[in-house]
Amino acid sequence: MLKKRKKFPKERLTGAVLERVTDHQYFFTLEHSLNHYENYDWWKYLLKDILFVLLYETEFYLCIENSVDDKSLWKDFKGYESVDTVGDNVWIKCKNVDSYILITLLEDYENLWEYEGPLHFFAGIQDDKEKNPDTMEYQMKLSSLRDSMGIEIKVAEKEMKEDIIKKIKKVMDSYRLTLDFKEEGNE
Amino acid sequence: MAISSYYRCTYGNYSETESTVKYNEQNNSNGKEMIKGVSTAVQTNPYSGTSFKVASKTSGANVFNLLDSTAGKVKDGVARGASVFRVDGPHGKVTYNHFNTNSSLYPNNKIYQALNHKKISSVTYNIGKNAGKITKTLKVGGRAVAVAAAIMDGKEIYDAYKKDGNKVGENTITTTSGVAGSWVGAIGGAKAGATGGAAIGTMICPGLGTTIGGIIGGFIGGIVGAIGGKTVGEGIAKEVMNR
Repeated sequence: MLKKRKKFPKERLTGAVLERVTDHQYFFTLEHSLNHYENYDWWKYLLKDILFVLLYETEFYLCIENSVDDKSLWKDFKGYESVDTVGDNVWIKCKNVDSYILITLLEDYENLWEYEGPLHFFAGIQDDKEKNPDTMEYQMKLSSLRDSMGIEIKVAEKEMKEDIIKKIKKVMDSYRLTLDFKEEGNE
Repeated sequence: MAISSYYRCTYGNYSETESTVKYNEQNNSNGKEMIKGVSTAVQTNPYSGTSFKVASKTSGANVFNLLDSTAGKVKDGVARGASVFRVDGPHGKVTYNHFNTNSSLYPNNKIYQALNHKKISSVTYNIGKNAGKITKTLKVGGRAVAVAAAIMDGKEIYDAYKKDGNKVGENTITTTSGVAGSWVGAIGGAKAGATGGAAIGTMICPGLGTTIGGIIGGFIGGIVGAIGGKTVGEGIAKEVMNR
């Protein structure tokens, strides 16, 4: 009998990578693209929990770029502190992170993680009337990476690194996944 | 071609006999129908009859995005639509031009899945990037060619009219009917061909296959439809006149 050949074997998702770009910038990503993993749906749960711990008990702005035409955002997030548009971007102010906002963003707005947006969480902010995602001051900025590859983490102070790694590691441990820390260029 | 005409052509003793004239007319006519088919096909949406459409807006590194309006999460009873196939430039950790497919769609289609993050040449990237402009240019060119074909049709009808002794007779009616049939056939054939080609392409590889299948199907359908439509149109006219 002919043996059926496996052409595109998929792997189990067993870990993720935290890559240091600079002292103020990190990528929390997958080693390969999402299609590479047979349990790719774990990635959403993981991202939800990572975002939750990083934003926990912090007031933040959520900025969704290039989404002013998506009217459903207003309906979905009307319960929050404020929903506002500046140019093509929608801004949502949140007193505290909750599961609703994260699950809604990850489940109902997959496009923002894949090819639209991007979206940014600005934590530790002052009220900024200009609301420009490029110039806004923050303590921590979390942005979606295209193709559902994860998040970019930017911090104002490099000392925050230890705390961030600790929080991410804790979530990874709860999923029994490994966290591979990489310095830039250190593959 | 009749054997006598063949010998005359081959051995240089060429003179236009009735059969060679007929042969040339037939060839010219088929060439014209092919032009009609192609000009109609380039103006036909390769996704017609499918739920696919090209996103009108792209952002960031994305230069081409094919959406399936029936896919994606259902919200308020309506599917939000999802990207099926994209062409992206470098972004984040991915430092090269590449295709993107959707991990949550068609998990069992190995060709589709293998295309994700597949490195592509700058030519392919530029085709994706300029797809809108290419389509627009082809449509304008197609319209110009269609006008030229219509002028040739006018001449053909006029010649038939002359052949009938400057009155509407059998030749005029048959030719006019054939011309009408060829246009109807070209338009219908291009649409049907695009739909069929897109369906076959989708079965092989949704997105990329849909696009290629829709384009090829449109061309084949347009050409076959134009040639077939002419024959059918002329046949109907002859049938009606013989009654």
